[in-house]
Amino acid sequence: MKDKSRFVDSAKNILILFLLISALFLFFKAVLYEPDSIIFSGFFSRFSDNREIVQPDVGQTSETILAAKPVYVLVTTEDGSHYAVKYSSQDREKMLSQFSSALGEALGSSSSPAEISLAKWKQALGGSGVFFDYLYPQLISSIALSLGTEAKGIASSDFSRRLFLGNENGNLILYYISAVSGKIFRCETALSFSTLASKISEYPMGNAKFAFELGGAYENLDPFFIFSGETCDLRAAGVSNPLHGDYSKSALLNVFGINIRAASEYSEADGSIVYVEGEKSLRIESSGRVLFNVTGKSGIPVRHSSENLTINDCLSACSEIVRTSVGGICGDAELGIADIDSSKFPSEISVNFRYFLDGLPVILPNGSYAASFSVDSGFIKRAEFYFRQYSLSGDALVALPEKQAAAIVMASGGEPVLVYEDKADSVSYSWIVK
Amino acid sequence: MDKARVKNFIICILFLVNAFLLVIVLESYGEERRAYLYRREALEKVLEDNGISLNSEIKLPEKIPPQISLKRDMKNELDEISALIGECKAEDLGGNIYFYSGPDGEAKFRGTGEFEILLRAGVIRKGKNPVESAVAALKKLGIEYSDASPSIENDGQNIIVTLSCSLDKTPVYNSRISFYFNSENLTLIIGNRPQSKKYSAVSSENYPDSVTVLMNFLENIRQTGEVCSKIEKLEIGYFLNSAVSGDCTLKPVWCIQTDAKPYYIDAQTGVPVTVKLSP
Repeated sequence: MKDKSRFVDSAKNILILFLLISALFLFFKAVLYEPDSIIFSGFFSRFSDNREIVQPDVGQTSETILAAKPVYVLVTTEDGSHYAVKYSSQDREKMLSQFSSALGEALGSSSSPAEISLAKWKQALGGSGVFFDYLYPQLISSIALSLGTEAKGIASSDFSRRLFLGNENGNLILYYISAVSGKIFRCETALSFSTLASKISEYPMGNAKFAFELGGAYENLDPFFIFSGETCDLRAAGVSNPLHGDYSKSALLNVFGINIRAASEYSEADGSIVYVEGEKSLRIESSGRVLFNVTGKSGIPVRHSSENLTINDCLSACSEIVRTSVGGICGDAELGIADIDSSKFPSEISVNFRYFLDGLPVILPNGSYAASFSVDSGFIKRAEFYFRQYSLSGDALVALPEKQAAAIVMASGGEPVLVYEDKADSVSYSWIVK
Repeated sequence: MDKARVKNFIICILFLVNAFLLVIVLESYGEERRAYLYRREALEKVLEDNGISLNSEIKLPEKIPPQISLKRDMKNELDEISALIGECKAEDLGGNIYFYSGPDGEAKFRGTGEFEILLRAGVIRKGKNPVESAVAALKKLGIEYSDASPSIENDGQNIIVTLSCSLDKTPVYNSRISFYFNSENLTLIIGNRPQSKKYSAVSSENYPDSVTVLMNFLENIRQTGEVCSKIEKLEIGYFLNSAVSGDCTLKPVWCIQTDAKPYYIDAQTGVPVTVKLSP
């Protein structure tokens, strides 16, 4: 009898436990767990594979240097016809997404450069391949870094604006014109041309031409100016001064290591505000121009990647400042390196950045740059910025056709370049001679 | 005696609580089901009004996989290629390109995930079914493949089997690997694959649902003037986006397989995308 009552008691205990667990489970399903509940979704997502760890976007590589993107891209198909994109940002992005990795790999795996003649370069351009024109000379090693690789064999301290990936007996060859010496070089790479050929074959027969291919009629022009055959359609854009908005001045001061509370502040007659902390000063003008200056020996130190300071270290440090200042509030524009003077490196180097809108350079009032840096013995001593915020609209602007622009330039010679022109309160386009 | 009564009382209460909660759970499932059927019906009607029918066997996917970022793992890569071509040495060719040479073949792997492997005769035989031999090679390489039917071509000299890659059973549409068989052996493997080391996953919780995606698809069809009359299959896969550095991102995309051609729609933005299938 006692055994029976014990058995019943144990059975009841087990049943209570089971019902309790079941009730908890059902409670969890019915009340607590709402897939859309903000309160609990965070908790449950810890246990699901949908959790958020970090948010990188790897497709566009984790670059440290704001190297400019190629402004013009030209593909030469197997039949020798050129297909070029100069003014359509959408087509250019598509081409770059197809060919940038090949350029990066070619730069990374290139052998030591061998000089070639102009005739050989022109001959190479006539064969199947891809031509990249950055418009402004770029440090070759920084192009490689921005594409996610490292240039070792190639003269990495050289600068180039024009590079070409061509075919030689089935091997992919990298050609470039040195912006320092003007000489043309050829480098072997570890790639076979077949890696590029299948992508090139997707392109239709083009009607683009290099100026040198058109003979005497355009002999005064830059021989590698591309007649793309496109209509020069641009997107209309507007401009404003972001410093007139709610941009945090303390954030800007922080970029240069100036504490807004510790710095003394005074206004000038023209409306500029000047902050001074020790040897550092930052002058913010109402026009959007900002000037950072250091009077003493110190400045913003450039981090060294190795024992000796490299140009890329300086470019990386300047890029970082650009990204957190002008680059953060420039709207639809992008920034890229447009000019580097490294003739006195490592004691001195100057780096200038430009705005690029829809892929084309923006010319600022008075020939200013978007950002300019002077690096002195590993310290940024002077920096100048021109804060602008651009917005592209759906309206279209039709510029003067290439051939007419070239005809105007022919007498004086040079290279006609279509740019956006910032007129302080509006943005238009114009052809300039480079 | 009192203790037994208390237990009986607790059991009764728990029974009632369980019954009450069960009703709520069933009601909630019922509501979800009704909402799903309502959405599906509405969608079928909209599609029908536009002359497109929805395959009755299609189940609208509810869960979108997260966006995943992967890194190249050099040690893993060496181990995997060694499993296929024997113990091998790696040579850095620059540009994140590595050349592997082993007793049974040689291989070149790129930072973008593209690779080619040349195999010596007899390492993997064609056998009666080249697809099985291709799958065996993939298993050695540690690459996950999708259950989509393989394509088999004959170019006169070789039989070419092409398999699609997958990650965690989700197909990667633009990651495909081709196996070239001569009359007896597997001679060449060429393709691109996602890298092997996961390092981040970004939640897809707020992505557009299947109805929004299909409405965007419809809008796209209207704008492009393309014609299709039936949606055969609807699934979510990945689109591989690679960089030379050896990093890659797998972005979720919807694949709408119509009787005309497949359409791909970015799961995050709901915008149609073009997926290039290579090789």
